[in-house]
Amino acid sequence: MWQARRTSLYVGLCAASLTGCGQDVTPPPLPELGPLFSVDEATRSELQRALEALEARATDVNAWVDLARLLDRHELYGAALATWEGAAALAPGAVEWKVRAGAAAVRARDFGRAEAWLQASVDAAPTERGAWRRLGELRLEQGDADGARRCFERVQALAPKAHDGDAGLALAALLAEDAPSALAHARAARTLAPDDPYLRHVYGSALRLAGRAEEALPHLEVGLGTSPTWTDETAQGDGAVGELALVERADALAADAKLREAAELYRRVIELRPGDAKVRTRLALTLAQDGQVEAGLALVDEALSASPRRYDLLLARIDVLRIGGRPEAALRAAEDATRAWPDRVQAWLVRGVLLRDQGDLDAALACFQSALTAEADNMQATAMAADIHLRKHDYAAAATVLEGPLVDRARRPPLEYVQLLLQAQKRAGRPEATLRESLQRARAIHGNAARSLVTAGGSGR
Amino acid sequence: MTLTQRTAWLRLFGVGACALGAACGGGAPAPSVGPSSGGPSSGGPSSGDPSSGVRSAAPQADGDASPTPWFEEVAARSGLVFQHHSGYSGPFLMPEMNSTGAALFDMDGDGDLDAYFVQGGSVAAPESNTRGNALFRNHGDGTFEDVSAGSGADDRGYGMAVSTGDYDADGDLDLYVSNLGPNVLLRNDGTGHFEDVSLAAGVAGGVWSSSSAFVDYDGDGDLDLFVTNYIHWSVDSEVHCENPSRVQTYCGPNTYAAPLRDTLYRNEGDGTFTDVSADVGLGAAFGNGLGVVAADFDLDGRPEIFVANDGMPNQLWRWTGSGRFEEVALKMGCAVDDQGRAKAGMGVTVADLDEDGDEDLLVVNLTGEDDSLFRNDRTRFVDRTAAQGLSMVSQMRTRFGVGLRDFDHDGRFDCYHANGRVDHPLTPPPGADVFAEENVVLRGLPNGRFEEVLPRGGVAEAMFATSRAAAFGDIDGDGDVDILVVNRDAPAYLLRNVAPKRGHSATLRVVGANGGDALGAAVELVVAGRTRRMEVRTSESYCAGSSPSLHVGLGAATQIDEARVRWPNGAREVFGPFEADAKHEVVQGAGRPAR
Repeated sequence: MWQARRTSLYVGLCAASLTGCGQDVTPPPLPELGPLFSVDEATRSELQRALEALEARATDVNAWVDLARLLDRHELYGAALATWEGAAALAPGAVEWKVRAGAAAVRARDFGRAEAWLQASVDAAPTERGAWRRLGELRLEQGDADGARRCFERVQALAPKAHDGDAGLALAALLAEDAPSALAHARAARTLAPDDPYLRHVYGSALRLAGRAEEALPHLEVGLGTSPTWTDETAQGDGAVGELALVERADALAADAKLREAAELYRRVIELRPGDAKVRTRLALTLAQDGQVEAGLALVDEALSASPRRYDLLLARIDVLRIGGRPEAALRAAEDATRAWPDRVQAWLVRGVLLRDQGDLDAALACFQSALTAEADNMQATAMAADIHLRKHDYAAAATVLEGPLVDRARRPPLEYVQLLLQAQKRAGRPEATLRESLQRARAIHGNAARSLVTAGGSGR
Repeated sequence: MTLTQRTAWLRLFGVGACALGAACGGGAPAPSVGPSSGGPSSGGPSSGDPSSGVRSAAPQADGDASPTPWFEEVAARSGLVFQHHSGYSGPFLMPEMNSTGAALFDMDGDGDLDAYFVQGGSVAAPESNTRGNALFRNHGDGTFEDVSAGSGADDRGYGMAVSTGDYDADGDLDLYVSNLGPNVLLRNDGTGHFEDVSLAAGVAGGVWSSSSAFVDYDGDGDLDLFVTNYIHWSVDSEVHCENPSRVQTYCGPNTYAAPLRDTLYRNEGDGTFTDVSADVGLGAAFGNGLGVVAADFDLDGRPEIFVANDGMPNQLWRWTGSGRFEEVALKMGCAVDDQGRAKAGMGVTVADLDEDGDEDLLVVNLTGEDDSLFRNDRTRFVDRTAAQGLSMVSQMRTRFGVGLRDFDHDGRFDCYHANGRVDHPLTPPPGADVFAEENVVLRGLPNGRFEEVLPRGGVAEAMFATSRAAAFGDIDGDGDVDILVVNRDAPAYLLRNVAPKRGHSATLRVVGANGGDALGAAVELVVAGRTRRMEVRTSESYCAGSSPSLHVGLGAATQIDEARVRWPNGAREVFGPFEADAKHEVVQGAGRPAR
């Protein structure tokens, strides 16, 4: 099974990286992003850079995927659809991009294309559960109960122990107003995922359809406002999932401190993309967090042996050492890095943090100031320098350092930054009016999100 | 800048290679980006609107080769010129986005529909409002005259909505105007002159109110007043909101986390009202209320009150008989959609779509959210939005005003959506209004589904505006239903119905014992063996008051065989038959006893 999956993924990868497989390919036309009327300048610049990157690597499906994800993130769904379609055209053997194009078409409310892409997905890969499920959801929106039922039957057959098949069948039965079937499938889904609140909504709806409204009510109340738990196909444990989806899953697992499982997924990706330094460093850091420092170092060093001057790899090495409980070695490596790249901020920051953690606040502050010399408006360096001032009880200096960026709205200091500023200003004895001004500026920048800050600051509107 | 950078930058802003002088017509074709079989590039399943994936109703008339408009915009030609002013002047103040309403009602008893518009003004400085609400008298032929000055109806609050009802039972329709701030009750003297009696009547309120409805909730024979309230808001509480691409836009209501309890005023029968909201249990559920409709959904002889909430579960208030309302929307199945989602409920309307003797419920929502069509089974509602073909076509735009009427007289209800965005689009529409959208007409089909009527909006030339309220009625007396639409910061539409008719219709004015429209009366209409229910009401749609007359599409039938009326006091009478293509009055006390 594993061998079969590896082969399948390799075929997909080969199709996805056509230049690496020795084929000569004409790239699809670059996506037209339109006038981007509702996009601010910073986002336009970000999109421009991404588009330039895509133009430079127009036959690399990963460049298309990167841009599509960026567009999705900004909810620019029409352009995202065109970009996912480009990825799918570049890699006709990779089902994942077809599915993504179908999903993007749904988000763009281009239902004709959604239908076509999802149908093409299941035609190309009849075992692709995610595509069947999305097609089933589309059939539900079309009001086609029979069509939805057929799709979810495939979903269920492909993974009988996953709850989405039965849940979808319950929804199809609800659409068909077949209360007994809806109840049976809702019950089955709940058996498979008893803690899923969305299934309470489905079960409650089935009970109500069956004329058992009183019995339904507590289930409906629990399920109110919930969403299907299978919205993102990358959350599924089976099916032909692409390597990018694997990375996303691994990141999520690592963030959830499930380090072994995360490491396993990163390894699978490295098998598929051995040259991917980013995934390699993520695996190295995950291993270090899991106590396997040597294994992590070996991974980074292996990459460094091929590219000894790669800044990101050197930083990763410092991080592995730091996380692995070797601060002295980490500091030495950081000193090397700042010597080699005195104009690069991140090395100074890492070195400063290491010094700070050792209690050498003056040396740490000097590092953060060096970082600010390299990049005067670096928010992280500013915050870290201020943090040192706070630790040294020099509140006025901390406040002074922090006040600048808040004046410049374009720099958009994060909420945490503002919180630090308020703390500094309070302790420095700044007048109440100054604090209020900071709050107002924070609200102007962060809007609603700054509400909690206002509360935390103890000065409501 | 390198050539690569330059072309990428230009492409980013929608300037293709053609603009740079490169050959566009020749060269090797790039690979298709559509799936090879049945993909978008090969047409896909949609044969109508390629953007929505739904079929469109074109041609409209049998044998027609090209679509025929259903409506003609005649506002300026008819003298019905109303320019709305939101007051937008830089900062994004949320009330600017919601407004406003309009009503069609016979203010002077001359048998035609006059028009009333609610004006905005300045949110930040309401005292500076120089333009009041506007009143237009219908000359009887569908042309209008502005009679605002001296009418007493030109209230200058920052307006939201209007409803109509004969609260003092003197036989004419009075006006209740919801404002951002104190509301206004305008008593009609029967000639089209109004007196502000808000304070004396005790219905001024003071929060941000939206749609309202006159309804006799307690069955004591006079019309009480239900007022939806939106959110607790002031200029000082406004916050900065941005879209995902960090462009400032109007906030959504849940940003403020300040939903309000709605207000129920009990009519004391002496020209005054008492706020009984807390006493009757309305405090059980707060919401961002925008739309309201009263209907006897469970046929128990008492109206239920449905409130469409913006971004929160809807409410259905059912009278318990013990002096209180019970909120039953979730239990009955109309609080959220079939996926459990609370949508941005705005406009709401009802109609007996399945002709089973009860009225079904349609709620319209934000772009990306489909309508909610709740079929009424009397003991529960069933979400039939997708099954009746409304899911995909509806979610393309942001809908506010809505109505179910038989515009083409084929005997089936059609649907009108008045649309307009609340946030910036990626691609601006034609014209200066970035929130503008086209309105949509949907035709009811024999199989119970709806399909879009083209040309879009039923009009010959594309019309873009940020539409809000839509009020429905026969403005020119020609026997079909016309539409009045209020547009944010733009002139209102008066859409005269010119749809090719597929059958007949009849109009019934249901008149109570006092000679006024019998709001709350329920009528079972028997046509060619089919029975459908209609109730006499004015409040529906969004912030609007529509004509209380019942317009009955007959299709091929040539008469209404029978009209069985249940009057608000519970008395029952039978009327009819009524011939097609005419207007009739059904007067309380003049009918046959019900069997």
